[in-house]
Amino acid sequence: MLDGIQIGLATALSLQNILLLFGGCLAGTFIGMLPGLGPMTAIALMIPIAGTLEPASGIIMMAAVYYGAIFGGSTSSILINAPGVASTVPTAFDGFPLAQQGKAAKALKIAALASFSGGIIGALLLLTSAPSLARLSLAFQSSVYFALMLLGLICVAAFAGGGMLKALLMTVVGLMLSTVGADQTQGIPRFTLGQIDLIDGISFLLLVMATFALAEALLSILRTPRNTEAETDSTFDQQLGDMQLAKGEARLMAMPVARSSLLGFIIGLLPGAGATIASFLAYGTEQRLANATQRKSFGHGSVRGLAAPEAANNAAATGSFVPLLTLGLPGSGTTAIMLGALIAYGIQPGPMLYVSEPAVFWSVIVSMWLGNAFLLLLNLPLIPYIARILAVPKPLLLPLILFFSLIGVYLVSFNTFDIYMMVGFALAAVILRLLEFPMAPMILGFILGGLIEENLARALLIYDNSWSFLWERPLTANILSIALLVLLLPGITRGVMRLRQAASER
Amino acid sequence: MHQVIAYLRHPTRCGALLLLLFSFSYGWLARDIPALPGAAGQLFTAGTLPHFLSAAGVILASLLLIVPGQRATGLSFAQLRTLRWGRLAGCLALMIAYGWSLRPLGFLLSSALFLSGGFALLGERRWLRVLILASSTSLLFWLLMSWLLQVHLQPWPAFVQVD
Repeated sequence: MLDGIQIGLATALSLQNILLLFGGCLAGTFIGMLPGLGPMTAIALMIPIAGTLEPASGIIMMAAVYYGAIFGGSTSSILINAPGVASTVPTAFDGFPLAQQGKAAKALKIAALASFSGGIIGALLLLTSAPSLARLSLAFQSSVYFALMLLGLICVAAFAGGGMLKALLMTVVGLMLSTVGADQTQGIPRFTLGQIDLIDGISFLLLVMATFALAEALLSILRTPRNTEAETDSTFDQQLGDMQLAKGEARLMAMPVARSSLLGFIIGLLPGAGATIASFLAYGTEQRLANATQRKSFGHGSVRGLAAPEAANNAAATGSFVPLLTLGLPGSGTTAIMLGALIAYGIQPGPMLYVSEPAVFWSVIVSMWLGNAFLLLLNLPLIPYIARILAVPKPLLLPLILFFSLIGVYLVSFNTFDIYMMVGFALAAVILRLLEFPMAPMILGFILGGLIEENLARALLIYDNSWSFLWERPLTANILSIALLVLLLPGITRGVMRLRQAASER
Repeated sequence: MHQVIAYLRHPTRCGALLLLLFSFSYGWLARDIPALPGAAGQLFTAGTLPHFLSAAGVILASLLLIVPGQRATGLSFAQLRTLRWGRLAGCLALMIAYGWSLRPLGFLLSSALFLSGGFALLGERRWLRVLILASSTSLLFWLLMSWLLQVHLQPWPAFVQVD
């Protein structure tokens, strides 16, 4: 292993590769910050440039762009409540309220530190336990994936706040939207209303941009006070706040970051699950573990609530490299693009990569440490400048958000139908948000819908058209029991409390 | 009628009713999903999940209609009247117009018009600032896409051919 690290360091620490790391982090941060352009788009945009480089250098640059874009996505989540990717949705839950309280700079610093820690812990875990962890996730069958995804959805609904029934209903709506388009298993068109543009389904980017970035901007427009027409001058300058963390805050985020990094890394190993489930689960777990006073601050600018998903999504991003590097299986959309880039270089990732291309294998691992360190070095001093986006007056900032959201989605498909669809979804989201319905469970339902259906179909096929897989496999049955428990727990708790109250009154 | 309106003057009930209608429509459309030949004995077809989801949607929305739970600290119906609905409608119209104009007018002109319209709609009255910001943003974005990232966006109106 030490020889490998030496090979990796020798490759990654050449002047050219350090410059690529630096440039990749910077480019990734800025691309990721633009609403609509997430890590996937950022890496895809970098493929033509990476193609001109040596394989190790190309992969190092793409890894840097990846981490940069994840951090950039968190930045837009915190500053303007516009998560470019699903994994940064929980970041907005507490990051945006902090920014609204005038603590944007501090929120960005917490996010940078948590991301850094998550990435470093994730890379360390990748190095020490990649082979055995990959073996473990290999043993999972479709039924286990199905159960895990169900658990993820129920956890999110349970912890969404504002009522579990509402959150469950929104999860179902998300699942419904994911069924639009050609069915993945048989190719049968569903809910296309005769529109050829709907055959490929609704794009994730479109839905998330419409329900978060566009809806947020439109709600802001809707809520502009009528008596302040002199709103063109910004008052945001005072809201950037101090970047310094209070004494207790660093201690408060230490354990959540460690727990979430471990959780994120393990979930990142599972193909398809990745950073999104990791960040949602980490947020939910920390909310459950917090004491009653701390729990109240979740959703209103909690340091724990911001640090946990940030650490988890970065650790999960690292974890998703395990199946890619050791098995040649992409664990997420982003690693799928990287797989494509590796194949374009003539490199086949898998168990043989370690033997045939040691420089590539080890430089990817080493570049994860270096990429995260560069990101921290780069972003901490830049935070006050990045946060300046808040200083733009609302009448100028809001149309710019609308513009970047619309054009970000249009650039993926070059289809104006997507713009009309976005407007429709944004209007629906505005109405539902005014009626106090949460959007995050819907987004997770939408993301996992296709995977749930695929794994359910495969599990039924393996079990010869029988639902017995739900109870015959102990791991599946256990996960489903936990899901059921999470589903029933609020009701049970409420019932017990009522009984106690009645007893005390008597 | 008054009783029905009074019953629905709860944000959760209103939303639940909308989503109940959505779930019914979804279930109605799910009936049209064709089955592959020979799929008659199959437990899982393209329609299995949609049928299950529509049933789940109807049940959950109905439960919410009956037991909406406690109200969050959201807007009241009286407060809804104070919101800037005109501006929202204007923005939605502007976005639809942008989608419609993107191809015939080209990226630069349609984007500059969209941004200028947006700035003006939200109360910016310093016209020079509006024009400069709108045109420079669209031009810079186009340059970034075309030159740096090699993404082609038709800059000019369809009737202008510039090599």
